[in-house]
Amino acid sequence: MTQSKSSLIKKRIVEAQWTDPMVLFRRLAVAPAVLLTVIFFVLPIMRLAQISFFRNVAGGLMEPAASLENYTAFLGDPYYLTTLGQTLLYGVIVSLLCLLLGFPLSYTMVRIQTRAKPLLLGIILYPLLTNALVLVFAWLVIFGYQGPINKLLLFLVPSAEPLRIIGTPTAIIISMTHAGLPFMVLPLMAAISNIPVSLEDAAASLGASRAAIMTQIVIPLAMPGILGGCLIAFTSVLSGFLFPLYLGSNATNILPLQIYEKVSEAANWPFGAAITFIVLLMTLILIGMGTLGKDLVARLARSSD
Amino acid sequence: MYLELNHLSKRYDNVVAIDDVSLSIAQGEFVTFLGPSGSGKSTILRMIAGFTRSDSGYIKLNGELIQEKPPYKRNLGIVFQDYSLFPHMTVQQNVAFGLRMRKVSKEEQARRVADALETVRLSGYEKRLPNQLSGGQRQRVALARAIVIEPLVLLLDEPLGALDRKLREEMQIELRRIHEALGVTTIFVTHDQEEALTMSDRVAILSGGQLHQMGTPYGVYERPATDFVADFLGRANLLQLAVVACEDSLIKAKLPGGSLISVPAIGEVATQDDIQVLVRPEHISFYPPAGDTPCNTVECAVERISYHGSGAYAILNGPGDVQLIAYISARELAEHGEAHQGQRITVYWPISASTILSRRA
Repeated sequence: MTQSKSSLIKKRIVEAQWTDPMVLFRRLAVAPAVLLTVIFFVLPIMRLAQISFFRNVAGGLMEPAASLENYTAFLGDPYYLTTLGQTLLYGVIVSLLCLLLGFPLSYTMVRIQTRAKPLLLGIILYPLLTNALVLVFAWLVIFGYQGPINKLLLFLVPSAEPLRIIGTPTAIIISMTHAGLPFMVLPLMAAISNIPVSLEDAAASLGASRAAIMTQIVIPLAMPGILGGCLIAFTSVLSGFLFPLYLGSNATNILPLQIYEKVSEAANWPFGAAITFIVLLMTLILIGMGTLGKDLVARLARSSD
Repeated sequence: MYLELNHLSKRYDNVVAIDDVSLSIAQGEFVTFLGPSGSGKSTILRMIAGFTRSDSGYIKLNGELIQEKPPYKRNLGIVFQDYSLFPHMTVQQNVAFGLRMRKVSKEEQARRVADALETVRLSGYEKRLPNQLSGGQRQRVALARAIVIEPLVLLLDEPLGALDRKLREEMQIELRRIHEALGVTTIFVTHDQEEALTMSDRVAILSGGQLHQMGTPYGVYERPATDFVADFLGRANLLQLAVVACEDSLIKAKLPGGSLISVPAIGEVATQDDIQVLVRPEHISFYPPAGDTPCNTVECAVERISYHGSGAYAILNGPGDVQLIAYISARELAEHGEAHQGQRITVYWPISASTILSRRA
């Protein structure tokens, strides 16, 4: 019944005329945003796609062509394939860490009753509200030889050598996890706040311990949020180059960094564009997998008996 | 007793939610907690379930203090107002959940789930998801899920609140049938006084966190302990009378308008006391009672007749601005002919049908 109702509404929307002032207003209201997206996002991306088939000419110039050589160069070079693998590994590690930290945090944030909630939320979402460069500088200070971490270490163990953190994968992972956490917490909080507390009470009354309530009720019902959060945290790794640039070393190679280097240092636009499209393709595949995953989870939950 | 609540109290900040409530329930009883919203009835239920802790007092179930037990170890079946079915599980999985938590074998799970679904008359719906069921069916699944674990007590928190009137009445009968079939001690929370009276062995009436009275439906309706109970259950004529004479078993008292009324004597009432007396509208009649039943009579003017199909409420103006409500059965109404506004009429009620609620010296 609800389906036929919604299709009826859809039909009515389609049938709505331009002359209807409400419809006209609605369409005009979205027009600027659509226009902006087309001019500053869709068109440049299409231009970038074109460039990725161009040929690089020494001196930062390029020659129009329809060649796949940038793509074959990427896929045929073990160096780039290792970079691709490393990027995926960083993505997986950062999303898992975000999930491990973000789930208990989101659950507590949703269920807790405190006046400090907006403040806590502000602290968690802070990375979203700040320029990534500011975060990078903060981490440079925190991780530095004279930074608070090493000061604390030397205070506790006076004989220890200061740790070299900047330039290691640890620094990249910690900073990217911090930056990715809001992307995990927001969808998770949304998903968890949709789970009525009475479901947990009902499970408890039926003999479920706290652990069982989490694994049987909360986590399965929060699954859309978990998948969504992981997806966005993963893509934040695919798009963030400032953290690996400043907190990594020459040995750290992840794709966003490669794009940055190809374009701004080697002035090889066509190759940079090709890597961009490989990253974009990966993102799309991930989103597709995430969507399929959601359906799969829902179906598994129904069929498992 | 099977379930004992002893001096339970609970405050939230400065608000007293539960104020020294003690009551006990026998095994197999069907007890209703009745009260308006905010009366504390659900809070007491949550205390028994273990979701809310009392500040003081204790709860004893089957001879054991359960205060320190977490909810999941109490073995109580609960049906929530919103049913709280697990939306990602089928009917089968929902009902089997408690058995699965108890590590019951697969075969026994299947058998007991089938039994429970049969008890609530929902066999054949095992593979459905909760959002594919109607409100009444969800209600039945919630009930099956609660009874399948063979709980020590079945707690029902306004379970019929979301159903329409017809379905509600069906489920009331259904709940009584299931209670009789299983013999499980049941506590039913409701704000609907009619539901409480029709379903329960005993009713506990709560208001403002206090237990006003606990007794059989007949007892609390006919012999309410407080004016709150009298007013909350059905309609009530609460008459303010001044005592003029006390005899052995009868008290003579005066309405503000001067009419003399007789009331059966209970407790210590002295001449000059002010008393509050309850007379239920159904006991007031346009005709004197049959035989020589002693009765009170008052001269009234008809203010309004509100027709209800099976009868009518007559709003009457007595002497001295006393307003009386009389429930006139359809038969009586037919015999008497239509009463019209302003008509003078004499009404009667048996002396035994009036109850003293309170007295002030």
